[in-house]
Amino acid sequence: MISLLIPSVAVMVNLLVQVFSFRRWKGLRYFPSIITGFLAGALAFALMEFFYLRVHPLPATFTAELLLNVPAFLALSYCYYSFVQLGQTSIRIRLYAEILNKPGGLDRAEIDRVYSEEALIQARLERLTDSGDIVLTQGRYHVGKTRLIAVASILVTAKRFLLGKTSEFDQVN
Amino acid sequence: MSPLLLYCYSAVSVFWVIHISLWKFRLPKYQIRALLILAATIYLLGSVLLLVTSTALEVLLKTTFFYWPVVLCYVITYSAVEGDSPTLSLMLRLQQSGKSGLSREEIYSFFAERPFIRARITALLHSSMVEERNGRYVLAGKPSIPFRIVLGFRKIFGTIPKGG
Repeated sequence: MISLLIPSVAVMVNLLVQVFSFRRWKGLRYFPSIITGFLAGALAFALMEFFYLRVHPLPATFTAELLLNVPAFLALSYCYYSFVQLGQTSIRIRLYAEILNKPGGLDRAEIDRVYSEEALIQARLERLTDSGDIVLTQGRYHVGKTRLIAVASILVTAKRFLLGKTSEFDQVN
Repeated sequence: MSPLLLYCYSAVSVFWVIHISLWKFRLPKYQIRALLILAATIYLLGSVLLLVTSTALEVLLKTTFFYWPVVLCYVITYSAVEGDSPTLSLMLRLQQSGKSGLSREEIYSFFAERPFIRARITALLHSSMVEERNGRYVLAGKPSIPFRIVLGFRKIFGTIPKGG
């Protein structure tokens, strides 16, 4: 029964280490803090599983741990990453926070002032350039690291399959 | 395969098969909400079935601890399927541009065809989290708990970038 809690405890370790390292690096190293947190969580997970399997050394237990707890830990880690990422990059959260902070609300012009389409583009160009995903050479932007292309391609395929379009801005439904 | 593994993987498979079938039949108006309702329905029906067939409570708990993380993981990913990500859209556009790349002006013109902020305001209005009153966008009712949790968690981080 105790093995149930191993993925959850490991993700708590992930959370604590990620927040601690982010604060220690004074908010300057966001992605390294995510990776550090995940590795710490994975290490905690591996150690807990190791000790659990030493106490319950049955082949069936090993298979169940491998096929249940490993996906559960990875899924929980992904959920945590997505949760943190929401606070960092979600347009909806940012807009909601801006509206929440103004009791009288915001009109269209005020929204443009606090968060314009231009600011959105600028923030992404800076983030992607800093991370090396895009590079600026001779005044033109190019793909740098290709890791996000793979993610984008998978999502476009899923969109086409499930929604019958490749972008929310497509007119075809 | 042990019964436990069978329950866990069957629950996720049933969720997925019904989700795809429903989506192919008719796209729900509120897709994320529909996915969560579907996930909860399958979970409740499955739990009743497990308890009726006198399965040990431990099996139900283990299934729960497997089913929800995996399903939530899918729902989170699905939100990126439902709505575009500006970052990923830009990456694909840059890839399509090949060796010539894109100038800053071309990138701005690409985004002009994709008004993300307007689309997200519409989504907030659509989900009744925000309402338009006398030309101003205001919170509809009490602040949403999930949004407050995300915003509250950002404070733990110490340095709070504005995000977005």
